[in-house]
Amino acid sequence: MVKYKMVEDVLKIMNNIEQVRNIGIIAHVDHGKTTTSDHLLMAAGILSPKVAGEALALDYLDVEQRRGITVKSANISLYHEYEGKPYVINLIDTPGHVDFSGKVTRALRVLDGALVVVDAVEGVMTQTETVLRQALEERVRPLLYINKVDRLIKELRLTPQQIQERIVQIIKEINGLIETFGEPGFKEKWKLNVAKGMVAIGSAKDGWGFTVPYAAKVGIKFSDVVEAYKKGPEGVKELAKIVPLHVSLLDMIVRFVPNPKIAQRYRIPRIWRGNVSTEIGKAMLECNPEGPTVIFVNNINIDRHAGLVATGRIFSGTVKTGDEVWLIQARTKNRVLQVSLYMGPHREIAERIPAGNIVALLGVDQARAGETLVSLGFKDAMVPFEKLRYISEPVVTMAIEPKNSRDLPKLIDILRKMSIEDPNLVVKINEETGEYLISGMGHLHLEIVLTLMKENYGIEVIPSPPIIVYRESIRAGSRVFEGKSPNKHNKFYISVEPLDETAVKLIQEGVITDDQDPRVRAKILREQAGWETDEARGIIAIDERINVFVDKTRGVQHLREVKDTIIGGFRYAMAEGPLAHEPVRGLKVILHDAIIHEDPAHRGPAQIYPAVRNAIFAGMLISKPTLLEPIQKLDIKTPMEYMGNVARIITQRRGRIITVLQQGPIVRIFAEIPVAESMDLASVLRSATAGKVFWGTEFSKWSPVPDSLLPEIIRKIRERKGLKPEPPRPEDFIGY
Amino acid sequence: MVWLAFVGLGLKLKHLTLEALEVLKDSDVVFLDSYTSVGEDITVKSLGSLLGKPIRQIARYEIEEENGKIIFDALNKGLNVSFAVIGDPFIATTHIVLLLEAVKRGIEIRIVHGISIYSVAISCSGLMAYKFGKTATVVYPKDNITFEYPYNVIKENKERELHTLLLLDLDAEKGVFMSANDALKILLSIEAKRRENVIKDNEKVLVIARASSKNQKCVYGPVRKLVTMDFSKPPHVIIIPGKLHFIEEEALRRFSIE
Ligand SMILES: Nc1nc2c(ncn2[C@@H]2O[C@H](COP(=O)(O)OP(=O)(O)OP(=O)(O)O)[C@@H](O)[C@H]2O)c(=O)[nH]1
Ligand SMILES: [Mg+2]
Repeated sequence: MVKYKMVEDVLKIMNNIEQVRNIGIIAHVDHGKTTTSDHLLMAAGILSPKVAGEALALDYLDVEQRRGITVKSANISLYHEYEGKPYVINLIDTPGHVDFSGKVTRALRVLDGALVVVDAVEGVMTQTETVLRQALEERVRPLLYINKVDRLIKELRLTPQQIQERIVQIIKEINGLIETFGEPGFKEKWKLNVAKGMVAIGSAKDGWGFTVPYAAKVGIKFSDVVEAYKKGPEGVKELAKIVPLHVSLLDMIVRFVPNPKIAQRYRIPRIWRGNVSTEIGKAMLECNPEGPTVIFVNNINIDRHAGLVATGRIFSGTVKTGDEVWLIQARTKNRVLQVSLYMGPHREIAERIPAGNIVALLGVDQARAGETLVSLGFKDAMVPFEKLRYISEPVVTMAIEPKNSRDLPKLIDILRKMSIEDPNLVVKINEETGEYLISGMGHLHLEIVLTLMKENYGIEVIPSPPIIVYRESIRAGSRVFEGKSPNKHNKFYISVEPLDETAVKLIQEGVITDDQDPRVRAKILREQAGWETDEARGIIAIDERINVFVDKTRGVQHLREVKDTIIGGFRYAMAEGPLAHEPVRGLKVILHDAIIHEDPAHRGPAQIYPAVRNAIFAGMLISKPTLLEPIQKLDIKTPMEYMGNVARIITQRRGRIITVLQQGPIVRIFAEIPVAESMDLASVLRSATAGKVFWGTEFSKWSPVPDSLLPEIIRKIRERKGLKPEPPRPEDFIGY
Repeated sequence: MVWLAFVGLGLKLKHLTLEALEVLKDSDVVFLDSYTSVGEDITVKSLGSLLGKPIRQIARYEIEEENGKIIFDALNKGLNVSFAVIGDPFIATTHIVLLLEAVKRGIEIRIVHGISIYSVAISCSGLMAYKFGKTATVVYPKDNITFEYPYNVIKENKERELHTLLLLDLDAEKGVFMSANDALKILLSIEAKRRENVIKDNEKVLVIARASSKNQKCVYGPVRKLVTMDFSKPPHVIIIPGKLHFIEEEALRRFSIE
């Protein structure tokens, strides 16, 4: 039953930080996260008496309901009493589809525990592994809920013995993952101990579930569950009364998820770059409500009435209406106009909310997901949190135009709003061609974006067929080229070479970053990637698409003053490469020498950008340039007899089978396939297996397109972009 | 054999020298650079009606990105070409590159000097020409980068007791004309950051607006006052005096607002 509480009562609990838990529900797509969250909300959600009678279920977007898929993350809060004490549980339901994984990444930052949901029939899948791994990296403690056990009984008709075996198998796999990806010092304690009650099994659809200690307490065995289903709906209802799912899950959460104060002690050193012995560091470690305010924003919604709503976690201090806060990324201050907490699915206004809790703020209009808010007085002392690492990249693009050209101004506004809410949606407006480009994590992502445009904003657009995003790269090193500014007064001597695999990996994993202490960075590159000292020390920029700019010059006059402009020229070149104006990836650009005009009137960006770019492009064009295409991983489960069909589909589409595992009558196929070849993969796989297939996809890597296809792909992209079909030659970038 | 003439026009039509008129009249095509500077009354139209022939305006990209192709094409067609420039063709602009390229191609070159802002500004001020140090241009911050070069130049010149002529950001094609007010603000912002006492609030400097034109204006006064004073239309230049000789002091006093 939903609890009716006054906001003051909930705040009282929130002030008592030992009685707060922050937890997320994470899983592979469709394993039952939303059904579970919904069930918890119905059974233990808190509402203020004034909203009684309104709809209780999680506020679904229409599109989510129709497709049965979650596309955004939802915040709710629950009320639970354990051993006579009241608790507030802040819970985030996350999407499972890999196209929306950015939401999971950001949610985990503000959580201390994660309920990993696994479908008992499908078992551990790709995304299960990915999200669990992400949780461990953020030092978020995992708990396990094995869902859909009813299907084992009703559909697969397993015996109690077989059910038990299946469950043991899943637990073993999850513990294997914790062992592999967990950090020493944590994984020992976090490995799931069934006997202690760290694993629940049940059915969210039917509302029952238990942990081993709970089952023992009420005296229930697997055979009783099987019996209950034999009796039909009445029996199942009875079962849900004896072992209500929400009690089992919430007991487990209260017992094993640490309260914010305990969690921040070990999480802050992991997720925050600063020094924990500073005032702000100490305050966060201690989750001190008297400390400076620090809030990490994980989600932005644009509410039709309220405007921009920023949801985040208070790591230190107490936030109050009227507070002025500094936004680290936006480099500006905003005033908090309203502070609210989540009561069930609704926001309710509160005066002040202390450290350790999840808060929703109005007024911080410049904030975007991933932003850090800090007390004005600490704007210079605050060090940012660790960068979020997204496991996917935007690889599919569509050009869109409104059906009705009068809607154009509206479209611009909507695109802006949508990209604020969804930081993984990249919107680009091509001023020259008047084209509106949206890039997303995959086909589904963009499809949902188009649907939301229509349903939430009433605007219909004509989309182009999906366009795959490529990267430009090189496979050899170049000699030094001279790049001249248009006025011929500035010269840059630059060579390019492929960035080594290890460095690429270090950058991708966020070990090496643009804004890092150069000495620390140089040390890592020397020791782990075998870089020479002067090169490692000379890095002056790292582009987010994984390109590095090294300055090897000595004593060049005026270089210091134009350094940022030169870096601007490098970034400008990396944004659109010479072959097809696609972003560049995996390049090491080395500046060997430069001649720079004394007077700034003759060395502005208009002169320096093209000079730097021309040298880089000439170098790239003689260094076996190529396009990289996105490749995705496939994890397919299907009955043995369809193995041949599936294998054929993969190889026909330039795919590659990596391993095949046999798991009883099921085979599990791990494969890789270019995204370009997988637009209709879903329907093809289904029809080839009579629908008996489960699969997960995930971004794998960028890989060179086959040489035989290269010229044709380049020509097509160039034509689409209105460029002349032939790519430029190196000579085009070296004038007189 | 064809020739290419670089013709300095001075700062207004009345600055045109007899030599300039002669060469412009003799040429088959006249190109007017109107991007590196502005003259009081020199436009394609006014120059055209003075010479009685059409003048072709030339854009920055035609000289820089296209490497002056349009000029060389005309020469290749056997036409004598004038490249007309406001001020002097080789002071404070970048046309020397074009000249060198033409020399490389074996083209006959003619040069007509013109009255430049350099001489006009110094002459207006009454300061001694041999006591000027390096010149610098104050430019608008770009991509959030403020160029501190002019600050460094003033500093160096002052250390050697020399005057500094400051030219101000100008891009006629983009409609950028920096006012003396903006220039002083930029210098003060650099001072606020560097705090090396190079530009002081109460230090006196000279602003020359629309040098040599009918409504030229020269004002000598403390930075703090000039920063907000209205000098009206561009172009403006600034002179930051170094150590003043007593005659120089007296010369400046003519423009003093105090
Ligand atoms: N039989 C059975 N079906 C369930 C159970 N829990 C969820 N389902 C069904 O599984 C499907 C997916 O459930 P969701 O809750 O939407 O899954 P999800 O993990 O939130 O999905 P995404 O958010 O899209 O990743 C729905 O059709 C549910 O009705 C269960 O315990 N038993
Ligand atoms: Mg869901």
